[in-house]
Amino acid sequence: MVILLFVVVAGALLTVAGVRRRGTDLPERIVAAAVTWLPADRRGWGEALVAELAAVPGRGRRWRFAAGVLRITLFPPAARPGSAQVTASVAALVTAAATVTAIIVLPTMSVFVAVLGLLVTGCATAVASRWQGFPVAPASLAAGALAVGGVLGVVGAVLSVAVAHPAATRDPTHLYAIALALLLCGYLIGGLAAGSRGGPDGVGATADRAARVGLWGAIAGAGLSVVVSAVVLPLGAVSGLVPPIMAGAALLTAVVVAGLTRSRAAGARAGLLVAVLGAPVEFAVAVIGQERGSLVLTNAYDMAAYPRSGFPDVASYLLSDALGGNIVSLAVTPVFMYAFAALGAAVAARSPGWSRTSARRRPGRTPR
Amino acid sequence: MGKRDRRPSAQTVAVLRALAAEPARWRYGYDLCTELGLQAGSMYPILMRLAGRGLLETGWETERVPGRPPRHLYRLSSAGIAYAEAIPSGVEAAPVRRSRPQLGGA
Repeated sequence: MVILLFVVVAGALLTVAGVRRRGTDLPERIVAAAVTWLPADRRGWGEALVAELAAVPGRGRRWRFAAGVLRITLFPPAARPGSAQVTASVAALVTAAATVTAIIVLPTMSVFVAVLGLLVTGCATAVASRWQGFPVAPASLAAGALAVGGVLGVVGAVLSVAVAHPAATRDPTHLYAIALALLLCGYLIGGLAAGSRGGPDGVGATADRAARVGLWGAIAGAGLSVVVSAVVLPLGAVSGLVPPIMAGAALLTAVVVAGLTRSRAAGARAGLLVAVLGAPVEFAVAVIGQERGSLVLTNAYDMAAYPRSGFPDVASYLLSDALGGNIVSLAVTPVFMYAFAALGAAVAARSPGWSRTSARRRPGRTPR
Repeated sequence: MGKRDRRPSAQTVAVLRALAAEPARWRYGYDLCTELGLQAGSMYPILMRLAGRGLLETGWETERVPGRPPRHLYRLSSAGIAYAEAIPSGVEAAPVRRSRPQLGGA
């Protein structure tokens, strides 16, 4: 399931990463993009895999080869043999214990805990396979901390609701539980991959300045978005303010990064990364804000719908609605944020003022 | 190989034996995949580990083939040949699921 999720994330990143070469089929594009995510000490093998695919005949074989390369990218031979197995075993045991605990203590959360635990086990195993030891680049560390912190924040917020209002997390179809687990794992992969891409400095063996600026810009944008939301929401503001705050941060980041690097793609990627790093934390802030806010029926629709909803109390009804809305928001946020960011980056990258300033500062750079 | 030496997997044994069959011959990774019926996702990690342990020599094709980039080539190093020969004949290799004629070999 993790590999499938990775394929989906990688597919989405393919378009974002700008791997658009004419005369190449999809397996070749997947392999070309996937090998850029190999650990630095395996980069030469990436070139070998790309070259080998060129000699693989037949569509089916090429797809199987590309799938194998994705597997290698996700689970390369570990620098420390055995570390991946140990990580997988420990994570699986923790997942089993957490699932059993959830079944006993919080039955409405058992499916979510089990699915998320399995997915995180896969992610942890992948991280252990790819781990090259310390030191870790500060940007990678910051991006990883935001990604992990965001996921923990969401889990904490949802568990908080489940403990106080179990009926709010009742999900007979398990659709929302599974969707939330998949989304969180996707965000985790996106955040960790953004920080680990490239060479030993975490952002590119060839000193890819655009990627470095983009990553730091995204970290700053996500941090700004989270801080503003955390300050605004407890003041009694509605959670509807969260998307505009994040959109503003993504747009600002995209414009600044595109202007500094004169790269539209770098700006758009940075804007998307703001959403990837910031959305889970925003989710947690919004849900906790709603849980601690005034849980009363305020509009005619809810007043009419609540008596027929089957919820035992108004708080559960409103929080269930809020959780569902935030899960949907978690799913669509990257799409909208990327659209915003791409638009802003396109304008900023073409702006003559930015270009002239950037050109003066870096005479050796050529626009992309 | 010291303390870190571990018993090779059946798939690794199969790769070692395939390479040891003609130790002087350079082989393509995909040809080894087809010969042994292994997927790339299994074969290349084995090659990476063997190369990392100094059991495998690697190189790039020097002869240009129009329409495609040079391919990576593999053969056992002298240490790899010795290692392969030291594997007891009783140790099972992964079953070869499919055998194909070689498409080429440098």
